[in-house]
Amino acid sequence: MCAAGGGDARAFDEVVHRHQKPAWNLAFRFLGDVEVARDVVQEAFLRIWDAAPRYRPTALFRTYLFRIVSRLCLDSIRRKRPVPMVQVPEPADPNPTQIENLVKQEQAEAVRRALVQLPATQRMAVVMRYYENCGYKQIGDALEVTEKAAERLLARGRKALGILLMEWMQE
Amino acid sequence: MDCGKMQEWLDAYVDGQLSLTEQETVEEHLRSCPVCRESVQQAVRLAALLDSVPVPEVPPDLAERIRAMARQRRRRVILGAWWREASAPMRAAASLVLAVALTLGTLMSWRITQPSPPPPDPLLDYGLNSFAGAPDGSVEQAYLTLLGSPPDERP
Repeated sequence: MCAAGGGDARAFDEVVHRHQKPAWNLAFRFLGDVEVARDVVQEAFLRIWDAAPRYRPTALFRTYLFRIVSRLCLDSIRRKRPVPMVQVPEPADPNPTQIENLVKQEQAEAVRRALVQLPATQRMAVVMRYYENCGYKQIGDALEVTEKAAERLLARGRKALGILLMEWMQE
Repeated sequence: MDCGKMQEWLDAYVDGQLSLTEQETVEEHLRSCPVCRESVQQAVRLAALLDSVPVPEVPPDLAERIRAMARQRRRRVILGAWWREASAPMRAAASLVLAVALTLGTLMSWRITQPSPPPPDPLLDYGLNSFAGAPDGSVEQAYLTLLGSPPDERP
């Protein structure tokens, strides 16, 4: 990243190559829309490129990246861009039954719908925790809140999801 | 520790955010408290449910698009940086060259697109209405023909 700050385009390409997957996962999990997620990730890396000369490695690069991605995701929601229900192809299963696949799809759809119903910051906290294994500090840094506030956002999000997904949570 | 206080720790326990000592405290409580044990089980089931949602692969052209746009932005920044760092005479010279080029370009395209002026009409230009009805071959018609031709074609 420091090399990219010196104008090394190949170093920047390497940054993109290494970090595009977590950025994409975060954006898509939060937004649920392939096109919007792609725009957000693109813009995130371009902002990183523009700011590269001023970048100082005071924290993990991933924290910095997630801060930019989450800010762009939240801005996207504030502009009231619709979040459509996305039909994502199920990964290949060597011995699926048709009923099992259907149940899995319905379950996945129920989870996506529940996530969309969460307030934006709770949703981001949940996505960062469960899908990117971020701790409270990292969530707080990305959302520009304290660790305690991040913990509370996560607790409220988890509670809300527990209610929304109650029927799927029964053993 | 009572269950009310323990609830605050359970979320952090599930999130792996407790110290080793705190984890041991929670686990000791869980051994004897079915209510808190069920809370933890609920959290584990939720985690499994969230994990079951697949995510599409990163679009294959994403890195290339970012790369191309970053190159474009860098070219614009370089031009901007040159302008900021150029001395006043350099900027003045660059502005002058640009202004001359724009002016020449505008003039050339104006000349090309200008329609050719209509041929002179002696009746209108010289008010020779009295010659209008003169027959072909008459002196009046010859005079009108002469006045209607461009000056460089007149004998």
